[in-house]
Amino acid sequence: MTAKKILIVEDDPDAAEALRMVMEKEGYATISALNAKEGAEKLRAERPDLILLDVMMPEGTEGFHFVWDLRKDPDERLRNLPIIVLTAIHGTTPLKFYPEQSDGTYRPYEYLPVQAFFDKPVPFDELVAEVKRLLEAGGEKKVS
Amino acid sequence: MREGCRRILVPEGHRVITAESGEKALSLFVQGAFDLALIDLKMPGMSGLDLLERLRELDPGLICIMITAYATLETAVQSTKSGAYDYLAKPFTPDELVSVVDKALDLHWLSQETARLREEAERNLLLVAAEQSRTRTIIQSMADGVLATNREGKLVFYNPALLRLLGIKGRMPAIGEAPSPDQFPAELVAWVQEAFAAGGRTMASHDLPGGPPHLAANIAVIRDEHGETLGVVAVVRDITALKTLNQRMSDFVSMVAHELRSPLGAIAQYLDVILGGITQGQPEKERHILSRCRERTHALSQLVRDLLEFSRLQGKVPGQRTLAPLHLAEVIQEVVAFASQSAQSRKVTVTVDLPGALPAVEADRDEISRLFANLLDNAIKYNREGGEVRVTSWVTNGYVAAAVSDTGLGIPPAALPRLGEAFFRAKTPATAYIIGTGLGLSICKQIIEAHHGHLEIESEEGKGSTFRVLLPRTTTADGAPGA
Repeated sequence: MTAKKILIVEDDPDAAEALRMVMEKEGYATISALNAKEGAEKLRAERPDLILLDVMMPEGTEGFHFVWDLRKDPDERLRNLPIIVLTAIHGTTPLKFYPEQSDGTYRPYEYLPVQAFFDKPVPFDELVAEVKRLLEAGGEKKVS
Repeated sequence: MREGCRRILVPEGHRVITAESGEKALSLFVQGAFDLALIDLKMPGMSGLDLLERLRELDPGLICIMITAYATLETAVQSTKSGAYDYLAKPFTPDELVSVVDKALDLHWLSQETARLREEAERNLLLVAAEQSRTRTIIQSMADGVLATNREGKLVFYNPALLRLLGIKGRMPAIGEAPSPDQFPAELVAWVQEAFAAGGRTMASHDLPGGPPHLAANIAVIRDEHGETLGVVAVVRDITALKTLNQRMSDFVSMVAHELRSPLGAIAQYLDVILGGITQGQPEKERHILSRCRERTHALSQLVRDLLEFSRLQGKVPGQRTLAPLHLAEVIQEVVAFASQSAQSRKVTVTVDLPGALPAVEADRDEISRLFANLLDNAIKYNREGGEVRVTSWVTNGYVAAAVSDTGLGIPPAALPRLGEAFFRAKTPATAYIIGTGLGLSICKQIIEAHHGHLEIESEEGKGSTFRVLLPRTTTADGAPGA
């Protein structure tokens, strides 16, 4: 069985490298993109099974647009591709993330249609657990 | 008779001069020296009436009392017509004389006092008018907008600046009517009304929504001397510059925080990888991680250094530079020597082509040193392995020019206009691993500008870049050759 492939979209090469090491240790294949544009290209060229997305990329809203565009893609598989968002923005943006945090800091206002998000620095064990859940829980979760 | 009057009046405290005829009286008369004249109607020579006329001509303020032996109505009327104040009929008692004289002097004093007060009032009115005129001119010329309303909330005053700041064009707001909602911001009108009703606090400051221009209003209640509210005055100011500055500062802090977070985050993640045992048994991977961590911490300290430099340059008052004639060649040689190690480790060759005798520039040595250090650092950093850096210098058009060329990665055309923006770094796959603070060029630009110079940038992706610095040469005859 071919290993699942993870696309890492992250502009800091060291942060990307760290994620790569973690994912490859779990047996996943990884591909990297430095920005949303490269991410979109690699998405079509490499057909990954999951995306790890940093939303603090060079131009502030690049990451958000990447997600919105993906969810409107004619390709059904791409529309439903699981995305985990990694962010260090901590609520400096009016766009809130779905699902709502247990500590109540993010009230659903406008949600970004992604499966999970983590604040940087990312806790690896939690991230791995979530990746496993999304990739191996018998098929991809549908996005509402 | 003369003596008789004198003897009566002197004890009353009056000073008396007597004359035996009209002519004598005239010769003795000095305008303004006398308050009152007692004139006998019937005199030899000049008549009393003639004397009266002459005296009145000389001193219209003189009070004249005619003494007549004939208490006839005719003579009385005639004398008063000619300007006499009163008359006294012979024979008269001392009391009658004193009474008439006192009455007349009181009148004189009163009329003088009246004239004086009137004059003073006129003077004051002129002063007030001048003051009003001056105050009006001041308010009309103010850059801040002023408007005032009365007790009924109707406009009583506004100045041109108010119209300009609120963008009121065409129809002028009507004096005597309440400020119209289609001309004045609703919030401003509301605050004016609130202030009027409040009574307590006399001054409040508000920021008007909207803009640019961003406006703030200071509202104050005008009271009379009893504390009764007469109306409200509002002063509207343009605070756009202040807001822009605050926004810029806030943006800068955000940018700095972001710049700090990235390397710290990457280091933390890398350390988690090692600590989590993910690289167990893979020493080369661990070595790579630690090496990158080292580079990132170095970058962090460079960032701190650059931030301080940047901040220092921003805050520098023109007089704080130490300007002295400086030979660029000297500084460049120093900088190149200092960078030799970093050049060697990247296998980049640095060649220097500096003519023997170039004019000096008026500059701060430390800053020029920093300028070239930054340019050289970039040229080495963004270069190919085994690449080249050339530093040249020449004179052109009143400037001393120096260029730093590299055979490096080049700059994407889209990034060119943004070079020198604080924290901007042209990001391409090739530059991903190169450490930089994003402040280096910004600092260079600031230094060049402070020295009234120019920076020119040429670049071709994949080929290399050239950064040209032009600094005005000194006008002194100090063309002594550099090192």
